[in-house]
Amino acid sequence: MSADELRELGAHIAEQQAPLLEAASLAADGGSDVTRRRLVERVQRRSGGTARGTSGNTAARSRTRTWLALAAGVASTLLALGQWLRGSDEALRFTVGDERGVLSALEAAPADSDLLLRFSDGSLVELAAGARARVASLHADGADIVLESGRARVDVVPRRGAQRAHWQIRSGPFSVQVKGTSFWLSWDAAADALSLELLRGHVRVSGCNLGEGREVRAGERLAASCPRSEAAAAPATPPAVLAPGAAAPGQAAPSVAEPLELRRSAASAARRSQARSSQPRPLSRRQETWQELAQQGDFRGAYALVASRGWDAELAQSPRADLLLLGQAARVTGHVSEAQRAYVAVRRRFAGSAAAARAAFSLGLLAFDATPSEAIEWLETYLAEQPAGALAEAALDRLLEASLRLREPAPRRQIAERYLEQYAAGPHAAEARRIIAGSRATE
Amino acid sequence: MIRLSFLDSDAAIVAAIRAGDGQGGAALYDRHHGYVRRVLLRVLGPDAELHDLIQDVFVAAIDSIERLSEPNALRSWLAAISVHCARAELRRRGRARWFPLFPRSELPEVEAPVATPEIGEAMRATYHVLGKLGPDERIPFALRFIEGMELVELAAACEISLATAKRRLLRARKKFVTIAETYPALSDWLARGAR
Repeated sequence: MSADELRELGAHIAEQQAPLLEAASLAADGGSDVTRRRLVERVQRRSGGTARGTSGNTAARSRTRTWLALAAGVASTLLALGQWLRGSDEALRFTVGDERGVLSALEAAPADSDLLLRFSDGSLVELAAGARARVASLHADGADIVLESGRARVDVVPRRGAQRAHWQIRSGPFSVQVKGTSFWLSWDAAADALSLELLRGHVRVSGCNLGEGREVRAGERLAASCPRSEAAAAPATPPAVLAPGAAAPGQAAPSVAEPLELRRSAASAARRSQARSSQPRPLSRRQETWQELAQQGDFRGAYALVASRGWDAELAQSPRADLLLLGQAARVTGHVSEAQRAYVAVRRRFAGSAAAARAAFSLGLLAFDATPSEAIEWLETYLAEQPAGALAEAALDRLLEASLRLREPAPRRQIAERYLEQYAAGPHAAEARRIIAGSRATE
Repeated sequence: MIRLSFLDSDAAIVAAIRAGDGQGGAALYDRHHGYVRRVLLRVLGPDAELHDLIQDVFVAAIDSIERLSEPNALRSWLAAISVHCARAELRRRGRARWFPLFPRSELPEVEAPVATPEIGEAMRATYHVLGKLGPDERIPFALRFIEGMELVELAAACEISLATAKRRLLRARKKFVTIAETYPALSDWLARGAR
């Protein structure tokens, strides 16, 4: 296999990774505030002379691991290493705002601001305005938290090596098992309705009509409700975006007014009852349109729905906004050729519109990793049609980056000059200057 | 929720971090997290720990910001830190594989958030083969053939000389092709090379 053929294989892999990067970027755009906050604090601690903190000190972790790995060959150190592998036996601690947290105390965010629960392993639970929660128990590798009502952003730091974090977030009869991930969780106590939006990693949600539990992965949302009545087969509060597997009759959601221990017993009894239920029946699922699924972030579901009904009709009839959404659903789920068809349909049916220019930009992104020359053509098309458009800077950014992948230096320099003319302080300005300097040197 | 102040250049971001302005850390992430993610993804493949490693890269960058002599070279400096973190992670996993106290089931999972069967096979096979290469071969291979880095850029990211980069790439290519022959998902690519 020659270098060119390896590059071809590599370009194929890069093309396959494009939707992963896109999905990760979407998740980061939607939920990177915790990361930003940590980095802000890191810079501030650094200026205070305490940069060598406990979280994320890669070099320190790396040195520790190296020593431990060397020691692994010596029998006498196996015990100590095993202890390291188990991690500290000390239970986590937490603060609420600036104060030390108290187990089982009800914490309520004010009506007009968030409340941050910060754990000693770096994990965070951010209660949105008006939300209420309590930390039921703490252990060395996690905590048990009850979200009484409202919305919370949960960001659990995964443990490294052989240890796994064990966090549980409970809301009414539902329980979310967490290893290390980020998500939004809402609990509507009045309607007994749970809503979970996963930003990163995966969790398992169990309880009530979810039976043994349901895996939820990054980018997916779960909406579930627990019927108070006997009519489990026809839940009173649809929808369940990810269809719950089964419903067991006779499960009443515990009241939020009940004491904590009582609620635990009720949930436990409900689970036992669930386990005894031998013939679960599927819940009826409200028929959602593919547009609704895509807007909720369920691109796989949206894509599957369109695929089952046939693409041609959608491409021929859908309005421009739907076609762009369809292209996005196909792109994010890795169906490159279908995404291209959707965007090309926008350009054909709505030629000259802003949507057509937007489709050109998206076609440029699709081609970006695998065929940079094609990406350049589409991005140039966008810039020609929308020179002052909202995506103009992003298009020129991408144009410059794509040009770096070309073998011929000529277009690279020309694009770099255009870039600097318009965005002298842009994120790629330094590279643009290097390109120009490099091409001058070879002249 | 944190909202950024506007820092419009790498030099301004570096200056802000050096001055202890926390917004510099957030701006650093906003401007470069996509690139760092891409470098790590190319080297490690779809990986459950990618998000944590991205944070590690930015924390390391903030902690050692004084070592950056040319603020306009921030992006390539981040590439070097990303490669360093990826190498440390690969070595850690290598140790974990040999160390019996790590149960196999507890080794880090590889997960592809939106991978579908039709796009997954060649990628999975490629990273399986790369998993059999050492970090010093895997990293240059991934950066050159998957990320498409120029040799000079690659050498800078790996903090090695151009000659060493070429030598490692040659070694990695030979090993990759030899091992890939046993993977049906890569046989088409190998067959193309034979034609």
